[in-house]
Amino acid sequence: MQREIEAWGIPTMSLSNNPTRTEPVRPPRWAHVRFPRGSIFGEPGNADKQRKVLRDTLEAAYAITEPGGRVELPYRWEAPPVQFRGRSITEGS
Amino acid sequence: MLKADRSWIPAFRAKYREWWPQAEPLIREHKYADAFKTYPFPRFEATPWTPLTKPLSRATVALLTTSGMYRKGTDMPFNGDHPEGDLGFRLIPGDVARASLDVLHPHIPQEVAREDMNTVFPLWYLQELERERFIGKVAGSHYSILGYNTRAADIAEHVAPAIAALMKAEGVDLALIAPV
Repeated sequence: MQREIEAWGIPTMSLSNNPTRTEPVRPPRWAHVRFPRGSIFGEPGNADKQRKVLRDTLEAAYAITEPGGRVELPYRWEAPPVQFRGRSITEGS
Repeated sequence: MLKADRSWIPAFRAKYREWWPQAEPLIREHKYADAFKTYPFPRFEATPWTPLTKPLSRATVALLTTSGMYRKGTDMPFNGDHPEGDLGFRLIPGDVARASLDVLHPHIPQEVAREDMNTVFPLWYLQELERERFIGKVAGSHYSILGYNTRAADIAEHVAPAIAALMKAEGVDLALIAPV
């Protein structure tokens, strides 16, 4: 999806909680976030962190000037693990 | 002009036709790891690139979430039961009422998004950034797809160009793509 929108002439930026799956797709610009599946902007109710993730991601979209550029966002999950299909997840999908 | 490399599509479609009859029964039994072990993931040699020439403070920004978000009572929910996923997309207006939004995505913990939609779709913080002049403008429309979809070639050939055309028509300078 990201590759195609970029290819039609619209700059794109994305987030990923799973670099192993993201790297082969070769997205134009992306940010790695260490949050669990389903919460790419951080834990529910944490407005300050969600704002920072959004702001940092947008800043990275402008700062990245080479195709495939990525940034590492420093934030971590600070809530109980997400429960999904019998697994407890604090990072990744 | 399209700058995408579509050379992977014929081989993908051929391999998909072989993959699907083996994968479908596994997916129906929710054996996703087994089903996707042999999925013909496309390989790409190059990275498409459109320079972002405007500073953020003058850029119009649109969001695209893969959370299966839709407007209750207005949009048809995504089909979370189909083993190939759902090829549709929903247009979420920039002035949408937060309480009208829901997600339908069987492969994420939906209760987290339902508790706080900002976890997948921070439209209201994007509006704050517009008021602070950190970005130029929040786009008039935003987009939602169901992130689970096996038909990658159809996403590339049909769904993504339709969304890109709508973004172009609204003068979007930057698309922020938020997977789940």
